[in-house]
Amino acid sequence: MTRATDIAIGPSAGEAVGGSRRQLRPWRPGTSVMVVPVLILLGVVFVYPTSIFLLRAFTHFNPPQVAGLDNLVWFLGDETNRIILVRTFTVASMCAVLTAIVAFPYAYCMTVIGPRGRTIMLGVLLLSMFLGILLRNFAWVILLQYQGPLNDILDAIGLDRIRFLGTAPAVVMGMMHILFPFMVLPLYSVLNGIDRRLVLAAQSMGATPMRAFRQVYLPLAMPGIIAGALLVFVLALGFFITPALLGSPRQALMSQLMFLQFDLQAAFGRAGAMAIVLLIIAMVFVILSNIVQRRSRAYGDAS
Amino acid sequence: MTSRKASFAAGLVVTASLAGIVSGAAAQSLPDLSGQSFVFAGFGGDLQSNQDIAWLQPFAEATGVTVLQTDAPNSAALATQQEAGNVTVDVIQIEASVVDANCGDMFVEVEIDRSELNSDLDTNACGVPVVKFSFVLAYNASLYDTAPTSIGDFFNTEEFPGVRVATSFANAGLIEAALLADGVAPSDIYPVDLDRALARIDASQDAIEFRDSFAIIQDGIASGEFDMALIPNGRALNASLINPDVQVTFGNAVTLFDNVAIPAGAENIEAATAFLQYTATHSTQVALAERFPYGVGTVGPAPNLSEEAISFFPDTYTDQLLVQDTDWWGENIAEVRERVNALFAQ
Repeated sequence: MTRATDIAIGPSAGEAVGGSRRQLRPWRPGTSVMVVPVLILLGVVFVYPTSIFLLRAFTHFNPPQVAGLDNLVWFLGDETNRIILVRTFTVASMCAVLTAIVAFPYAYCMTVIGPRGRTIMLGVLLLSMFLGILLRNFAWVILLQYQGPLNDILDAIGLDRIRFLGTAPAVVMGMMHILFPFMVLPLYSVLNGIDRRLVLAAQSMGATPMRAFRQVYLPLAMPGIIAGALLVFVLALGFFITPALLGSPRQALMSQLMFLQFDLQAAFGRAGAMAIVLLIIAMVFVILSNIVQRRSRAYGDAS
Repeated sequence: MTSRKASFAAGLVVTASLAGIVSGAAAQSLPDLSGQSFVFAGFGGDLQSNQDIAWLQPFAEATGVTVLQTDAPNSAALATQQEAGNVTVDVIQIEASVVDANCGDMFVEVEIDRSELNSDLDTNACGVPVVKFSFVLAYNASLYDTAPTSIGDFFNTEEFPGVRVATSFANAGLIEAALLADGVAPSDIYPVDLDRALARIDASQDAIEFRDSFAIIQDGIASGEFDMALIPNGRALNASLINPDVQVTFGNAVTLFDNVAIPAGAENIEAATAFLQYTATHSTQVALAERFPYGVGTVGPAPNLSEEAISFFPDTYTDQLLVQDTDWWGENIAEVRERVNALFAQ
């Protein structure tokens, strides 16, 4: 193939990434029947219990809350709760950004490496997902503890030992490990669909490698980055075990506060109010990301 | 919380009337309960596996009853079950203060012979006092020339420097330790001056590490991550088995106990009541104490303990202990939780 044909292929490949994905398959009546079992399952095990739980925010009250929107007012009006909400939001955002930065090279490698290498990389990823979540968290406890291997390394190179456990960075590290596959998989599926010859095309027309990456590759990768980061962010909002094991009560997150109110205080209404707030935040981000993604798709098509 | 429910289901293990070790307690006259069953809900872990051997298997053997086991739902989960009219447990182990505060509504009153129970601990008509334990001050003895003598020394960073750790659980000895450190006499601890206790904790917040789980603390004191900790005496013993430098003081150690009780709405009241009667005897409670160093709620000859266990056993230090006022905690625990949570969050 000559370089000229490469370039000629480029734009249509760009459309394949940005455009044809949007096309829906022709609707057949048979398919709607097939989703019925899933809908029933979701209705019974998800929609019904979740609705009951959320409704309790308006029907179940522990003094001093008595009626109406008291539980929501309690949640948003209390300084402690606001601090914990903001902290949860910050930790989840940090997880999303940092996991994206770490996962991008990994996902990119998966697109350029040979089939065997890709299988290994995917296997490593899935293997870490299959290990129990408690096991992975306790592994971090061992790694990060004061007499642990990480501190031994710091000690060996002449630095002071650090008490990682009980700090926000320890929690973020543990969460990133668990959330890593949720970032890599959507990112990989998008990166894999990008025609890398577009980058070559940009370079052949005088762009520096960095500029070609920034103006051609990155916009095409953006839907994957956003999808992965959103997934990580939403999952991170509800993490319980990792902050409980690697963090400290002084770094409590929303899920720990919900545990306190639901499990210890039997204040189902307050816990429900917290769940509503988290749900709204998650939904706002899903909508925002859809808007951004639509724009970046448009940008991808135009390029 | 999902994982809690999963373990709740997975924990449903049939003990059944398998061949068990028949302890002396089984010799008392027990009713014939063959064909019946009941569900026992304990705290899991080493304690429940020892309860299985010391209590459940002999009882099943002697009466023919089938015992099912699960993890204890806490008061919130129990309230949910009762609200839904679907109580899944018949005998539950729970903090004594919870039964004190809810006897007659959340728990069923039982008519049993209470003559062998320790009258100081027998505080309500629903539960049987069991598993007396202390929140002791565990410390790394290799670091200190003079040993701490009171749990109040947890706050004495001048005389006993080093990293200390406690849980965020409201009722785990920290409140009382703070008051002792602030100069309150042990006899004046209750009713607790909460503002004073929290102010003392706040003043030392930066010197104390807090963790959400006793398992992490037990591991940390054994590995040397922490130098001082407030933990239940059984966990301190387990840490000392790994690291012999871990020693404890029972001086003013906050001592409390659980109840076994029957939740309202339970389906197998007859078998459950017979089991409560069985646990209300000294021989039954001693059989457990000899396997795991938690104290008894009954009166009688001391259990035979190994030398190792004796120094971690609350009843060895009877005159040093600070026995918790369960009434005060039953009434105030919700407020303490909120205040402690607010203190830590800021």
